Amino acid sequence: MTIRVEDTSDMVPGAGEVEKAPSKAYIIFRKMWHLRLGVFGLALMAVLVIMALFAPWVATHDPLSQDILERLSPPAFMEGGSWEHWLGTDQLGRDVYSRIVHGARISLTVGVSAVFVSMVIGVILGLFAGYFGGWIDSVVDFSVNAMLAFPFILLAMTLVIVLGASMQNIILALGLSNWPIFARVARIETRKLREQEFVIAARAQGLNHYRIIFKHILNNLAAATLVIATVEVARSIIRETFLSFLGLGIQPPTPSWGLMLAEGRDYILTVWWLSTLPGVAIFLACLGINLVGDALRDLLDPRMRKA
Amino acid sequence: MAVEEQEERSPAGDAPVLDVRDLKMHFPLRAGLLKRVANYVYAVDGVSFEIKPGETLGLVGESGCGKSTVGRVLLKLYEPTAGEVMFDGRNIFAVDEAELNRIRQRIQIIFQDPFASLNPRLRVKELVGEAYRVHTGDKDWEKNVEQVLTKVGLQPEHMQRYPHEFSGGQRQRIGIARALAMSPKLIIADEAVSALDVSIQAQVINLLDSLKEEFGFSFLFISHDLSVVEHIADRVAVMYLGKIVEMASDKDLYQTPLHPYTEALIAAVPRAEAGGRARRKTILRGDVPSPINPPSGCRFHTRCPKAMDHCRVEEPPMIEARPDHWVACHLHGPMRHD
Amino acid sequence: MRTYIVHKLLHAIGVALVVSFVSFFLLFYTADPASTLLPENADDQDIARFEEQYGLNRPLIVQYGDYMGRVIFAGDFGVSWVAKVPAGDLIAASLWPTLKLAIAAQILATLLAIPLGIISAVKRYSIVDNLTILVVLVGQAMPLFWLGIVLIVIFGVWLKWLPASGSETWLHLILPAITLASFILPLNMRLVRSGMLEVLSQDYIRTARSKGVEEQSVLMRHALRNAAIPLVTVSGIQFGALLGGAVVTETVFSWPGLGRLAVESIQVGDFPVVQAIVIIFSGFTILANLAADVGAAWIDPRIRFE
Repeated sequence: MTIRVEDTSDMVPGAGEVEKAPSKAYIIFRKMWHLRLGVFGLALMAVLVIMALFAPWVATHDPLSQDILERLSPPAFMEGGSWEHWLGTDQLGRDVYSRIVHGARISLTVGVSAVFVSMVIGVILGLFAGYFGGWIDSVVDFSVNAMLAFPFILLAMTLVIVLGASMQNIILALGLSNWPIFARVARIETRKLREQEFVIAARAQGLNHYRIIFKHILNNLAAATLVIATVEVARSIIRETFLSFLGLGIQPPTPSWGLMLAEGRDYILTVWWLSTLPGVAIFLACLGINLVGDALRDLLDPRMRKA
Repeated sequence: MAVEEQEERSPAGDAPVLDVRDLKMHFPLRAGLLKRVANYVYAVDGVSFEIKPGETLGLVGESGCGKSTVGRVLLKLYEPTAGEVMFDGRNIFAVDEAELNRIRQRIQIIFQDPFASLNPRLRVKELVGEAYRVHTGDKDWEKNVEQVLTKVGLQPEHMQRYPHEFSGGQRQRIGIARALAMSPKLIIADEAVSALDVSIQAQVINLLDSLKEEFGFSFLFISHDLSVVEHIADRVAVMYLGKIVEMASDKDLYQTPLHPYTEALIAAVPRAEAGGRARRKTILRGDVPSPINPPSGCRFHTRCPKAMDHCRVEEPPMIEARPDHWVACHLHGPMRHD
Repeated sequence: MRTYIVHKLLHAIGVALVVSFVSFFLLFYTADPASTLLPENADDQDIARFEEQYGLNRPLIVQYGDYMGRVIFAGDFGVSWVAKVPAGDLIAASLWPTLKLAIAAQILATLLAIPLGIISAVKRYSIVDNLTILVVLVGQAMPLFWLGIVLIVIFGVWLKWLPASGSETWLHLILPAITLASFILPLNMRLVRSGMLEVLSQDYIRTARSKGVEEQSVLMRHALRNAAIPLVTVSGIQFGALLGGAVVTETVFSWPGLGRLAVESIQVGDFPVVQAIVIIFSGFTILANLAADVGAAWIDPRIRFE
């Protein structure tokens, strides 16, 4: 008996769509290009994670220590800059590079935790709504619509005001306002999976609903959820920086990228780099995460491969 | 009441393992703002049969006749409309969720599509062993998996693999192993070989046959393919549009079919027998009517070559036309003219 | 079709009521307005007087009923605690600037997304296609408020081509509109591109092509209409995103719209104004969703029966 390894792509609905056929060489080039972007994203993300995990060792200075004599000194690559503070210092003479490194820790913590909160809420609600249907489904569907009608940023800001501005509360505010996207995807996928023969087979085997939901269905949701979660981490990072930018997020003197941007804005006409550098940090971090998300989508979900 | 029935139908002796009484499964079709029920699909509409210990009942019919629905509603995978299903003397439809799940361990299904019926993200070990582990709590459950894999002609090493690493026939063997792992009293095979290549079909049928000999489970073999059923079944029930129209022993049914529909089905089977009698006389005309609005009277009258006026009006009752040969057709049995 | 619309309408009204109640609960019940607004040394009597004045000492449900009654039947959104003028007046003054900005951004984004999306779908793997992907990638990673700041620095401060903030002339609109358009552009391009790709793979397009129908006419007659469906369908959801983006954009450019008003009101705890803006924003979003649902069902009749 021989084991036949089958190409699964032809079993996935929609994957076999015909399109204008580009030359084979171009497809290979295209795949490599895609792969390269993913690798680039992974590298950016690795830098971000290393910065966040090992901030005290990666940073050159204490991000909070002020030195009034050294304030607003330019980066090393500009005239008057020095390698002592290679990205310059801010209005209080704090080392910008070290603040950016420590800011990575804040951003990543907030982004990942907020997404975790919304993912847990959203996926559980979506699983139950999609699996059981009926009134549970109606309630979840209605809540999702209500949440989506709520202006997201106002909701998050209101929650922060109500809860008080602290890191935990920002995570909570972002997490509580962003679960509908997970609920929607989980609900739609679960509805499809519920009718699959392997789920019916699990029921026929006398396995109870909770085992089926949290093992057999969740298992098949993991890929789609992971892709969304990755992209949502980037979006949460941007949202956190905006809240902090408005003074409704992380409070000074904690080094948050959004806060640094806001503080630098007062000096934008003279020392433009002060708010530009944290902006670059946010951009690169989110770009890296998004690229990894795209690559994951390609790898895990063959249906998306051609879109 | 339930207790009486239980005593009355103790699983001893020749008492049936499965006794299905007047089973109905009507799927509601909803429409409009308030999702009111606008109509029903009469998928299964009053089906009764029984299966004795160690017996194999073949259930045949064209696609859409409701035979697969029977297999599924037996295990309450759909919410049945009416009827009783007695398994080992207990009504499956009347027990609570936990008890239902215990009964489901003893009745296993082998599904048609070996691709769709195996969770693509679980290893063979989990696919085959999960239910056994969960229900028995046996720490040594992997031993059981190894044993059943060997029984179905796979290797114990296959435990660590995922379904997509196997061919269709091998996957169906995994499906069979999954059913066997629970040491069931009854196995329902729902078109278990029709998705496979013809050469592989024979292998799998032979495997099922020998497993049945070895383990002695009862068998409900659902198929649209009469030649396959003939090979494996002891008794055969023929279904048309949600109803059983004829039921008899394998031999009786194939040699002396009583219902015109059965005749037509048998005639349609290509045969290689030398000197076979000319059976190709009845060919079915027209399409199967919709189970949403089934024809009045005998449901087969729209396509029956021998239909009489009477057939349009009155539904024929199921009668025992010969010993152990049941049929629902006005051509047989007492005709009433009133 | 009529039952479909009625169904959607009832749903929309339900959503509107729930959103207004939740925000009312959050703002007037869980938060403590008296402590936010009154001076630190206010005694119990002052607090009681404040609560009496604004009816905050009544049961929540009575307050909410009273409030919604006035909103619906009299268009009265209450009085701003800070400016001491009707919240409705503040909103009326800010409504037009926000709409102007949103419309300009939507037009700009659509004008860019449709041609770029189509070209990148038809000429796959071309420079335009890769450029489109690049714009999507960059656009999704760029914080909107930072883009606004960069645009201000480049065009307002260094080049001095355009005013950096304010709203007096049409020139003032350009930078905020570009910023806000960049927020919705990636999604729009993606939708047009994937919608177009799907349509192009359909049988009837291939049939039309094989019959020798001219390529241009194939694209215009068959493909474009179908590629537009996803754009219409998500325009409702996107409208919410657009308003969210307006909050950010208006803050950066000091644009005197609802978004900036919302941020300022939240920061000082002027909850009647915040509540009014939440109602207006979600009302617009719900209406846009309703219009998108009905519009999509009108273009594609199959949707009605799902």
